[in-house]
Amino acid sequence: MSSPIALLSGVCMLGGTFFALASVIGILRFPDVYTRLHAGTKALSGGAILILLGVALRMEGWQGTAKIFMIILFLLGTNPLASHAIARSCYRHGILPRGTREDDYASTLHKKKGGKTKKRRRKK
Amino acid sequence: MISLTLWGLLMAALLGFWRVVAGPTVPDRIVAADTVGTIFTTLLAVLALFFENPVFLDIALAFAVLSFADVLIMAKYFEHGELYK
Repeated sequence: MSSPIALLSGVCMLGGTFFALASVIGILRFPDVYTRLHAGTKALSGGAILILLGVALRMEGWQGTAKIFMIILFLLGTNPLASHAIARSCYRHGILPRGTREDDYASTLHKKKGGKTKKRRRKK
Repeated sequence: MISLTLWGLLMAALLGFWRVVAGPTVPDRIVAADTVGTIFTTLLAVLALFFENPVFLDIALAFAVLSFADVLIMAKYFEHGELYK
């Protein structure tokens, strides 16, 4: 823990741990599916990339570093895809964000699907 | 610092798993499962540093792929009620 590279990697890993804990606290505390998705996907991607960079700084040999960069690229590609799939399925299933008064996209969606132009309102 | 990171990530995974168990609706559980999968991917990478064994990185890569496919299948099943439609 004496060399500056080890210190930098420790700082990266502790920062990433802070981001992970903050995103999980957001998942526990937020009131809605969409806000929970916001907390659990974006902040956690940043935290995971920080932790993986901290691990890559301490790896011996180039193979481990290459694998870690593959994991980072994969997370960067797939985390937004997964969150988009979850949000899309929630909206198509009929869950509206909290506090929505009138949903303008619903008429477009239903016109594209069946021809009915009804506006969905949030259930009280 | 490595052990501190491990304990912090384990605490985060436990707290996220609480949302998986007690989530009021199904998409909450899906979101929390996605979060726990990402946390465990990074946890496996830190374990590779802790045990000084680079095999854990391969496991982390395979776990990331499986977690992504898992979340996609769950979201598609939740949207349609069946997988192929």
